[in-house]
Amino acid sequence: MNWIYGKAWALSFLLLFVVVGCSTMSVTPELATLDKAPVLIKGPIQYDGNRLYLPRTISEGDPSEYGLRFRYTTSETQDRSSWDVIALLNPLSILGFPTGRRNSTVTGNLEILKDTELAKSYQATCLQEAYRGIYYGGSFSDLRRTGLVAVRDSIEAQMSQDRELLEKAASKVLRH
Amino acid sequence: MKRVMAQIAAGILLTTAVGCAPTLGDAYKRAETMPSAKSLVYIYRPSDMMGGAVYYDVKANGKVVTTLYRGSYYPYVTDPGEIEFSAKTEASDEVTIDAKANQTYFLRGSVGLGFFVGHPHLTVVPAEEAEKEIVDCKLLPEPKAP
Repeated sequence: MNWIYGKAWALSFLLLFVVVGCSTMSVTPELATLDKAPVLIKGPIQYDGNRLYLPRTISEGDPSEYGLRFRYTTSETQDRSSWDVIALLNPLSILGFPTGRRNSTVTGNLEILKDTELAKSYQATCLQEAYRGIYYGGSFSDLRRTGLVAVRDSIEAQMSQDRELLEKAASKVLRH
Repeated sequence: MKRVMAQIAAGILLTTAVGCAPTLGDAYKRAETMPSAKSLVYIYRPSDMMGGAVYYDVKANGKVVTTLYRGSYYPYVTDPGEIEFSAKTEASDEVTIDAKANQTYFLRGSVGLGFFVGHPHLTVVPAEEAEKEIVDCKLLPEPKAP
């Protein structure tokens, strides 16, 4: 009998450690992050958010024929009804089993405008899912911050791999 | 042993004590006007069964905006920009809103399972969902000056 209890406890703790680290993140498109992001385009930037989340491959410059517009959207959800009841009745909650789940979606879109017409655009999306328990769990602020940085990095990587853009950048068509 | 018993008793008291809620005002009514170039955030907490006795301060960028009780709401008028709302009991939670001028946002507070005291949860909720939950909430008084 003791042997069975021992196994059950061991399994519970094993599950606990597996679940504690349970948070997932996926970025689309998934590209290797640049160590250093060079400025590829300069121009007037239409963006009223935190500068930290602006792709570093663009920079504020004098009015030119190119304009830059960056927008992002965030969406956050938290599973409530079922989790609350399950967590309350589940004796394993006290051991650290999840008591809730959070999802975050961040989408960023960079548009390069030529004479107010769209010349090129780059988009990236970051999906995150994180579990919360009594002793752990990230906040929505953490998820948002991570998502916005991931989206920024993906757009920077897309731009750095865009041969057409690089050729124009090299010929200083886009730089002023 | 006595110490353990005292800790357990304190825990039970903390989880069962009824919060001294202030006198609440009228039921929710959406503001018809908003000061120009400002943002409006409705901070509310529906009358959920979970953690009914628990209440907590809600801070905006570190400054207390209101104390949130079960079945209450507070309209917070602020300058546009990135605002981090936070709440804390035995654990803390944060959510960030990038508030735009002349826009209205809804921030739902709730209480989840905790070890001794329920944990605060803050979530930004779409207007159509929030309007259904906030109707029964009553207005919180203005916070006292520090």
